[in-house]
Amino acid sequence: MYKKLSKEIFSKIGFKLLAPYLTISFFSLCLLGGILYFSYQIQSKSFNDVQEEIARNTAGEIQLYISNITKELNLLSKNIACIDDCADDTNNFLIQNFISQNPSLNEISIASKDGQEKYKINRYNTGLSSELHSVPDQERFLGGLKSDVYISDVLILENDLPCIFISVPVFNKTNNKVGVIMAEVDLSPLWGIISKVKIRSTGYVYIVDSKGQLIAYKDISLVKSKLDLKNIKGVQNFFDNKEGFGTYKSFTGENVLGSWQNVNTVNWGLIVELPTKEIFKDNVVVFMIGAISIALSLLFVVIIIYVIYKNLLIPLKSIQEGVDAIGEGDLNVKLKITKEMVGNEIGKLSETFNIMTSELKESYESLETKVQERTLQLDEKVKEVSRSNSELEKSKADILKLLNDIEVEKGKVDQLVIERTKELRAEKSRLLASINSIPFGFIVADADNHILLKNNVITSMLHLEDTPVTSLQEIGNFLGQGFDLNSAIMDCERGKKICEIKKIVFQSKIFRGIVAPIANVEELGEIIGYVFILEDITEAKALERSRDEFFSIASHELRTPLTAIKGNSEMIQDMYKDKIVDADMSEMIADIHDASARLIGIVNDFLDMSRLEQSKISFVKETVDVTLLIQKTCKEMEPMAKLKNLELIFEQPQDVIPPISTDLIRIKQVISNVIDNAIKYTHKGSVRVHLEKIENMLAIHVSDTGQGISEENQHLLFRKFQQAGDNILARDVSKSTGLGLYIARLVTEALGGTVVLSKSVINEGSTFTITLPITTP
Amino acid sequence: MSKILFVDDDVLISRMYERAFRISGHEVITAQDGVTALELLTNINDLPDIILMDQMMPKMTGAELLKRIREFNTQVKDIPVVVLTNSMKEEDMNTFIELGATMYLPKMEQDPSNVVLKIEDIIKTKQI
Repeated sequence: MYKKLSKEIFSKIGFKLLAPYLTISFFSLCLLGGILYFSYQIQSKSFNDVQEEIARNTAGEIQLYISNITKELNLLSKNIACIDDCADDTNNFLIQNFISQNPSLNEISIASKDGQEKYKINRYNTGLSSELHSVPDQERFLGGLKSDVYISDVLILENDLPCIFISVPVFNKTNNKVGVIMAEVDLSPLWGIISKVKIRSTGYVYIVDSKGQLIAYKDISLVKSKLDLKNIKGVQNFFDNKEGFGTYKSFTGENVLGSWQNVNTVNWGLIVELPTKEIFKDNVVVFMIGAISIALSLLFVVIIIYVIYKNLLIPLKSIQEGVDAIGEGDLNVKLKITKEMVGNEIGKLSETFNIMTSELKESYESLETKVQERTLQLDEKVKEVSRSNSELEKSKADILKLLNDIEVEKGKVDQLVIERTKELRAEKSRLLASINSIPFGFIVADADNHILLKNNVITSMLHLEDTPVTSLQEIGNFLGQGFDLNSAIMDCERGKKICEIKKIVFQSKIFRGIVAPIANVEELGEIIGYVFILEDITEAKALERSRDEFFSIASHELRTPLTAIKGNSEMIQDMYKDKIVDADMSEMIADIHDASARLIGIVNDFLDMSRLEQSKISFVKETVDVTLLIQKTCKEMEPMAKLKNLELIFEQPQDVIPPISTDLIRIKQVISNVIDNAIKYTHKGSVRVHLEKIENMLAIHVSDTGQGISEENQHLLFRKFQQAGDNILARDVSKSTGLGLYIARLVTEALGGTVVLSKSVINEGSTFTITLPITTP
Repeated sequence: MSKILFVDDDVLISRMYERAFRISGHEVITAQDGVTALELLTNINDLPDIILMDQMMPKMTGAELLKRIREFNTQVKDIPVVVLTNSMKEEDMNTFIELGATMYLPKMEQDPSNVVLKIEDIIKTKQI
């Protein structure tokens, strides 16, 4: 398993975890290297600074050492009063003093101008004057003489100690050079200074002179060997650049970090060197530490990975496997939960997972069942649908067939329509022909008063030949302000009735117009149009006028002479009664009177009748008590009845007779007429008048006991000019004009009633009945 | 003995009534039309006691004449006027009564004697 594990570690985790880690480590190392390099550089620099400072300080010290000596020498020089043949030993004393005060001085000599040492004191040989030499050629002498200060190069004495000579001139009072003080300066203190300098652990300082010879170094043997260092890069650098630092390979054979400084006044080079190895050493340590840390951390990581793997990834893997299994349909998978896992998140997850899978399994199973059910249902539904589908197909076929039939029918209908249209057109032309033959102006208009048809008569009546008219309104306007056709139409419309416009004056003619609505019987009398009839009544009016004239003339012209005849004859009878003794004459006058009276009656009747016929009579309605009226009439006619020995009886009415609104005079006339007839045609017996109320009518029955009227004659009764005598041809001119009943009928009918023969029996008698409507006033 | 002014265009009728009144003992003056009648009425001193007029006359109708009579400032306006007429129309009757007619008589139905009697009645009534 572990082999497998490691393989798995690599395959699964390697590229996921290790690779990045390694990459990071690699980069960290590089970074570290970089940092180290830079730190090395920085360190070098700091070293350099340190070194520089040391160098400078050391150089400074050396310089100071030398300059102090020089200064002292100058002081000494000043104190020297004379050199040649001096009086006393002051000079020796001075020199002695000087040497004792300056431990660094080995020897002091004073030479005169010619180069002859005059005085010389050696430190070690005090007390004794040292051997005086002649040194005119010696550089130390010449140097001191020429310049203010001469410093020689470094010399190694027999005792292997380094020294230098410092010379200074001696001036006399007149400031002329009179001699030179030469001092042998011990440089071994320098060595001390040099050796003391510590630079880290392996760092050192050395001094080279202006020629590049080592003059001071911790290893004195090297100094004694007069090591020539002018080939050392550091020394070369010094020669090039009196001050600086750099890295090079030194005489020790190592790579060093060097710093060089010029010692002024002597032009020596002070070089401070530190082997780079030392610097490296530190860095290497750091690097090693770093690398080890990384290695350790790597190990640590590996351990961690292992731990994780064992505790996390293996369980996760098994969860993954479980999920895969579920994915493939195996819902029976169960995760193992080890005792380590119990309580931790993985354990919980595994538990949850197990619960989930079991629930999933359950729901899956229930789902399966449901699906099965539903599938069954669906199958059913599918069967149904296919059934209805086939039905639909059938219906579709039916519909198509129906549509086809409809097409065929439509064709037939179209044909019918064509035929019908032809018929209608024929109808219309027939209609047009007939309306053109009507002797009236005739217009048919639709509900919007647009003219649909008009006949020729109206065109000629109104002279519309050149004027096209399309609406009744236009006709109305055409007829002019004398007539408002439009309002007549509106009345007609409103009232849905026929409206007559009695008189229309148009140019020189008089027309009569009728507007009749055309109602659609089926649609609740909806008005679908109008018929307008225009009748030229000019002639008729003229005729009427002439007739009216005739009548008025006739009535007046007839009546006047008649009145004269009747009146005069009556006056004769009345006023000249005593003068007419002759019976014949009396009778003649009586006849004249009667004849004229009768004639007046006839004329009146004629006029009445004709006016009644033309409905020209206007009745004067008043409240009439019919009972009273009959009473009065009977009273008036009693004498007439008495003459014939007849009884005239008015039977009191049984019912309550209300007063009626009617024309008193006319009704009286009618009643008189009927009673008159009754009396006339009865020879014996009685005439009875009976009044009763029948529903909303009053009935006046006049019954006689006369001859009666035969059936054949009955229908002639109310005719004009007829007498109900036996022989219709033999007129009984004594009786009447024959207009009586005719007029009576006209009058009663005009007043809303009538007069009829209600009963007649030959030789028994007849009953005439006058009916009048009970109209309240 | 009264004075009667009779206005009628028809000679026959005038003569008849003139006869009737005369025989009855009255004085009658006749005028054939309204204009003449009005002229006669201007004679203040000789005014009739009653005026009888026909309804239908040329030149001036009875109604017109009656109106004129009633417009007189003089006693003329108070003279009773009886209108003889053919029509028994109520409206005509009313018109005449409104215009100031004292009575309205149908011409033909009445015998002249009756008319005389009626006139005498009116005169008597007036005189009271």
